[in-house]
Amino acid sequence: MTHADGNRIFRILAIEDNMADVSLLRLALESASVDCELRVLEDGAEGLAFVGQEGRYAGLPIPDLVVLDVNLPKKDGLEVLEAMRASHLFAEVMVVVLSSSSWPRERARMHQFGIARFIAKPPDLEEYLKIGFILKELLAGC
Amino acid sequence: MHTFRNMPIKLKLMVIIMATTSAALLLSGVGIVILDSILFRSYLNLDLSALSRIIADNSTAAIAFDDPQAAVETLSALRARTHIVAACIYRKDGTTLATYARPGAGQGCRAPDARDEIRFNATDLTVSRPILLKDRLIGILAMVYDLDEIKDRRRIYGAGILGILVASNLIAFVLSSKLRTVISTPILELVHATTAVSKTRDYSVRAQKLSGDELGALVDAFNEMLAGIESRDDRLKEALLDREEALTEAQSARDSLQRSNGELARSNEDLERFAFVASHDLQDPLRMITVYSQLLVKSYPPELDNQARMFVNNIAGGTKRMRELLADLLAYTEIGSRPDTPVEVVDLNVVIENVRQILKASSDDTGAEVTAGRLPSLTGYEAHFISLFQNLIGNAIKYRSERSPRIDISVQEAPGELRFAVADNGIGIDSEYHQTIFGAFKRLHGNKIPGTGIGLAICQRVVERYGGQIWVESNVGQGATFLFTLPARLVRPEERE
Repeated sequence: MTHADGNRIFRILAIEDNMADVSLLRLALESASVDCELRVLEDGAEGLAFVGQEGRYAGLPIPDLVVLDVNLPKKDGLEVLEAMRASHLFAEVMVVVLSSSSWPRERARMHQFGIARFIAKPPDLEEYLKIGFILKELLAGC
Repeated sequence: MHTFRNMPIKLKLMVIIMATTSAALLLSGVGIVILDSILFRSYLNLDLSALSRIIADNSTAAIAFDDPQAAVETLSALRARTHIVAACIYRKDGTTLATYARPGAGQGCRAPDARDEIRFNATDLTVSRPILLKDRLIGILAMVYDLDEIKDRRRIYGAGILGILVASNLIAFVLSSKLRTVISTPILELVHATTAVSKTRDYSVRAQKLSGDELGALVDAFNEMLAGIESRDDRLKEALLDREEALTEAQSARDSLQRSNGELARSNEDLERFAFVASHDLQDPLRMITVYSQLLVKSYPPELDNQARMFVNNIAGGTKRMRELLADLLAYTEIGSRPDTPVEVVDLNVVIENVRQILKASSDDTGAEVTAGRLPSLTGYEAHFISLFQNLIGNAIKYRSERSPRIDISVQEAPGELRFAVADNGIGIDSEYHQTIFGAFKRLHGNKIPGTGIGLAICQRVVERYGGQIWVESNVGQGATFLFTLPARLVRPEERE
């Protein structure tokens, strides 16, 4: 998908149950001028369904980037990540974990499945907006 | 002999009784036969002596008149005696006057012999008697008597004795099989009792006393012994039971102690986990409040008047402070959450260097100088020691006087422990508060100096976790020295002297 001016429009899938965080993510992407189509799934089960291309997610295009929370309702982020790495379609998709917890053990386990970045949700607006630029940089590389 | 030894007593008794009976009967039988043959011989002697005398006297006339016919007649009277085989009358010169032979007998008389005698030979008996007339030898009588009678008698006696033997053995068998129970039953009773005791270990079993003899005495002795064993066994059982009870009691006491210990540890653990999770999870909504109040200020500058701006700033300040409190609470509970047996070796010199880096900003701002002597390496968690020194040094900088902070860290060896001192030249602490300052969230200075009041509580928790003590020596305006001890066993062995 490309924009009228020729810039590429990225498909970003956010799996995040906290809508306040989704708004901040959207704000961060806007302020970094990332051209993107942001799809949001609100729990881990939806995430698994998307990865499995089940039901209403059947045939949907594969995103360029997945922003994944760790503590999700129903199925947690680690399970979704595991399912992604096990599927042919999602095995190579770039994943950024955006978590409210930064426990080292959790971080290490996520890294085992090949994630591009582990970002602890910052308690500061400026820091939060910087995430937009980090994602932009990562997307530029793909 | 061996088989006899292994026979049951019943059989042994029978064999003994029958052997004794047989032996007695046989001996008496043999005695009777011997006595009989002696008596019979003497009877024969007398009888034949009398008979030969009669024959000799009756034949004197026939010899005197040399009348063989009369002599034969005299001899033929012997026919009545069937055991007389042959008889002869000889003249004085040894010639035969008359002979008698039992019908069918092949044997004749022996040569004449003038001796007056009765001689027993192997198979027969010979009689020779001089025939006298007025004390003058006129002839000789010779007789041969067979010993078949003796043989017959022996046969009859033998058969009789054998019969008696068999009959008496039969009677002995019957009698002994009845009577042996008198002996064997008490013994068997004793055997049964012994077997029962050895099999069941039931010492209350008693053998029944069936007789007043030695066996009865044996049964009494056996029962007495059993009673002794039983009472000792009972006492032993009782003692064992008592001991078991005591053990069970001790065990249940130990169990209940362990249970309450476990419960205590669990509730402690639960409490810590709760504090940990609560402080962790509470951070997230606070993060939202902080970020969104920042966003509010940022997004709506024209619409927000100064008062609204102040309100939002207060919200931001409050949430920031709460975040700090939660972070400290997290740090405090985290001290107890690590395993009890640390394996890390922590070089305290490195720890101090790390703390210097962490506090670089504030020490640069205040011109603080931190000096430290050579410090040991300890077994423990590095994060704990960083917390400890960061809080002590941080406090020293925070509660400084007008002078630039001077902080000195030293260590002294004492018996079994190391004594650390962190001395500063700050504002000092009134002795009234030397205890309370170590309580969680206890502060002396309100909001003039920022802080949550948990720093010294963390220090105390770390020190006590490793088995040490912490206290302060200070006076207002004279600086403060925080002292703490740590057990010497934390020092790596190779560093000990």
